[in-house]
Amino acid sequence: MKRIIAAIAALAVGLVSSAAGAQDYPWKPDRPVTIIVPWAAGGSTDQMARIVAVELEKALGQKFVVVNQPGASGSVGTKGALDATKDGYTWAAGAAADVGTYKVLGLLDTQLKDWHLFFAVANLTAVAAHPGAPFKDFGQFLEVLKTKGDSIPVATAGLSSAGHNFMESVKANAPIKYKHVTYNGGAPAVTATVAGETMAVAQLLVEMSEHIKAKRLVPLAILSEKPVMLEGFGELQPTAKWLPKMPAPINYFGIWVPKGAPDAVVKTMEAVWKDKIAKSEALNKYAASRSALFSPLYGADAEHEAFKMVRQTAWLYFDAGKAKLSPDTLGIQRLQ
Amino acid sequence: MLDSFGQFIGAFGSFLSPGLVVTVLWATFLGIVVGALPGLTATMGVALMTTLTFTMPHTEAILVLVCIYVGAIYGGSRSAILLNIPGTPASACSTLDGYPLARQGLAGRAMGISTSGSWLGTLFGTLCVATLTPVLAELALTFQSYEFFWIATFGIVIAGTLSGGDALKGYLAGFFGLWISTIGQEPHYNYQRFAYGFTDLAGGIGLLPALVGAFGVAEVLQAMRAPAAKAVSSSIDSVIPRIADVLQHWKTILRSGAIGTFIGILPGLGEDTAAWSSYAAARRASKEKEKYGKGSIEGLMSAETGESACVPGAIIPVLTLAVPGSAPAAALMAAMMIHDINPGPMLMIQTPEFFYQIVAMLVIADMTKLFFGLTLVRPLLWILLVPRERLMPIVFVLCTVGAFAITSRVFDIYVMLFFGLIGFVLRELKFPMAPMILGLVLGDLMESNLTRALVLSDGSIAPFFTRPISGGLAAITIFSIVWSVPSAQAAIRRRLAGLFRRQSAAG
Amino acid sequence: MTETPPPSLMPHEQPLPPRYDLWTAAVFFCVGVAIVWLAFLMPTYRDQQGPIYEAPGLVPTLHGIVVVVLSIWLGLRSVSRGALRTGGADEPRKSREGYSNTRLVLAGLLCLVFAVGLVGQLPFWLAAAIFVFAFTSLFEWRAEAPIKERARRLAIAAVLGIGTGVAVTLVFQRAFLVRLP
Repeated sequence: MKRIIAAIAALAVGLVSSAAGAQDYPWKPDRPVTIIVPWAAGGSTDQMARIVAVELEKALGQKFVVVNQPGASGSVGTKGALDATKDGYTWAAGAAADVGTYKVLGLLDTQLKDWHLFFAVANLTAVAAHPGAPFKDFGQFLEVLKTKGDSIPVATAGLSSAGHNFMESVKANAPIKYKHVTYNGGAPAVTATVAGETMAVAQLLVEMSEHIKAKRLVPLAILSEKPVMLEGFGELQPTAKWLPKMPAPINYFGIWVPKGAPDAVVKTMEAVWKDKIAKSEALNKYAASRSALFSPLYGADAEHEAFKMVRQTAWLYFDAGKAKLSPDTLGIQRLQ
Repeated sequence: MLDSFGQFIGAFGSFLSPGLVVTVLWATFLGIVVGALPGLTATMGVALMTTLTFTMPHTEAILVLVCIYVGAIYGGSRSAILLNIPGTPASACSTLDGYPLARQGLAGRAMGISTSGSWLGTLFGTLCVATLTPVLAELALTFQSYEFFWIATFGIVIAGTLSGGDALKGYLAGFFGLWISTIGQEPHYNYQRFAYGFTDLAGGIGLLPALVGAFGVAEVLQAMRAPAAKAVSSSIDSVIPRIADVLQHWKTILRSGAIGTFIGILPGLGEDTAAWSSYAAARRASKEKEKYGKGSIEGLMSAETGESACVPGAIIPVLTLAVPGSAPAAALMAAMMIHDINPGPMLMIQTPEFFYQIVAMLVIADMTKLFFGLTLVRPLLWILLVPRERLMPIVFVLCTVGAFAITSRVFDIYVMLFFGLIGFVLRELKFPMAPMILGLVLGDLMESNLTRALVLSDGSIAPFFTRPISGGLAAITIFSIVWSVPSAQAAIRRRLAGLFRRQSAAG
Repeated sequence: MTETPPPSLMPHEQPLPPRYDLWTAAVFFCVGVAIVWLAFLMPTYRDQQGPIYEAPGLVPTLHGIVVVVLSIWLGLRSVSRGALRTGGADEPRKSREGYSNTRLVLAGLLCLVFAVGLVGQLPFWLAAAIFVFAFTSLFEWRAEAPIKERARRLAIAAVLGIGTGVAVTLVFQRAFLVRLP
């Protein structure tokens, strides 16, 4: 009985989801393509991947299914894509800084150059404070951290999260201390600061922009060289204003497939990226509303740009004693 | 007040499209079938349907799961009445009076009582969801790491104390589950605990594969071991509930509804505890105690109302604290997270419309349940007679798919098999399963809040006891542990009794 | 309130012989000790100025200690209930009729062969069909039944198997876009 009902449901759904027209690309996927998001649903990677999936569906006339495979700093899901048959039907999503440093951290034997990279947006890291905190801009924040940093709790999504890397990078460029309080993700860390459990939060701007607009958080600075506009709020100040020597590389988010995938797949994706993703209104809107940077990069460009962040992050881990091997041995030089 | 009423109406309106009506109908029916079939539990139904629905839009997916949950708990009483086998553990209590009624040729009347009791129970519970959730959420907003640590600890303790009867075994199962939750990467140094180089293990043990194992595979093994069931397939009298049965027992219904909802709110205590507690309370208050166990209408009514009131009750702590009130609610919570609805205190602030939708879903599921309860008698009877030799392999195939498909990892199939074995053995040894699952759910909440609170307090444990709410929760937790030790409990009772006697002597 | 304290089991359950509890306690004791030992071996990161309450082994150690304490308690309780006395392992002879360990082992083996051996090696619909067919026909096999009856049962099993395989594949893969092993 159960199966009969299920079969009827199958039929109904099957009728609705008939394929949309696809253009002439060399690769025509004949079954759904999987994008593995190695993080929980709702995070920054997940949001980006779901929008990209819809755009790809429109372009290729085939379903792109987003599967969340969280665990072990994203290495579980990335491994899933790495181990899958190299037929172009299994992709991974994430941040370039993560996939580029798994080997340095000893989490997974893979590097940035093992993948065909397709970036959609770049997320900015920001630091913001609870409205009641005794600092209103990044300069005051640094002063407080210099004098009594041990008692200032700063929330992040944990070790090797963008927020924690940001704070460590500040620490490497200024004589500060802070009390590192970890949460199970960007959203809980931001929420805790809104609620007042911690005084400041360092995380991706995407995850806190709504609270900044609603005046529940005071933005202190963003990791960047130039000021950035946040729609519905105003200008956000860059870290370079206070710490001009601190490198401010950009963290690219996108999807990728292991090298070894059929040529037709890569060619098709490059064409889609050029024709469709680069002109995607949905991604543009998403980026603008969250004050992320819309950055449809692929191929050598993508690898070159993303490698800056990898260099910065890998050495940050090494200096903190968290690396399993020196980035030098993998050809990752220190970012000056 | 008017505003929230408008929100409810809006939420109902959003479910009125023809497509969703069809969804509600098949989902509730599927739930009743899952519940009625011995070996298929509500937990497993919700866990499996999570897989099946995860490409649906999120409200639709959660609607399906709520319908399955509500339907399954009700469906279990069909097999309890007709076969003397509880379709889900929740209906074990209904066998006591339901089956004797069926043997007296009153199967139809028993099913009518079950339908009306269950319908009113869920309705009562849903009313509590609508009124209590906003209040509790408000309170939960003031909770910080210290309070959440105690909530998690209290959850394990209370589940151990009450869910299986034997508190000691409940605690053991609970802490075993807590330990399993520590497998994988920890948050402070990314150290991979108990993983020994396996990336899959470093990712931790998934809740849904574990649930499918402990509640699906273990049930398959148990069903194949047990003797075959025989139905009392006599002619069935009218299943239309008698108004008199309801009116006459309105006190029992209210009492059972309150008890069931309360048990539901307590973390990890499921519908089975709710049914037994309501049954015991009804019997204690009854004028016809001797009829209990021999076909008491009041007894059946109390069990049915209690177990069905527990369903909405168990959803309250999910919405307010991100702590599941029962094993199926744990699966429901996991589904919410997969669909990017973040249960917890912030839910009422970030997505208040979802709260109204949940209430609307419960009411819709309850009404559909009533509809099927009155109309589908024969088909359900027919389904009950599917031999397990044909049903169980299909169930196992579904379990395998369900465990695998959530994250597409073969590793999850092994997790399912492992928990199937553990679940079977532990249940044979009279260990309750709910605390183990709750341990798995709450382990992370407990650990991350414990260490975070210690970081915030610079290693001092004083705030755990000196903050007012935290201190209160600590006291309740410790009292629950002491209460579960029989000799300590007897001493407290004596002391209390002594106190009363002295007072009455003085007065 | 003249009720006795809550019974140690759900009202519909039979108590276990105490010696079973003793063995269970012994197993949990070993598990608990192993947890504590393994957690103790974990690094504490003191060299990175990590406070002790952030050490990865702390929480598992706590859980392990509780498991050890509870297992000792369970062991002592079972002894006090007569686990070591003769007859401590006797089953209460009730309601155990009709239970078959042969069926249990057979079902367990079939499931294991399917989940570990067949899934992933064969296309999923075929694996499911073979499993359901084998399971149903084995358990419904009655050597004493007439040939015709046996053939009918085999046919039902085959239809059921193929039906399951096809339906599951269709529903999950085509309709709900779920990936199958």
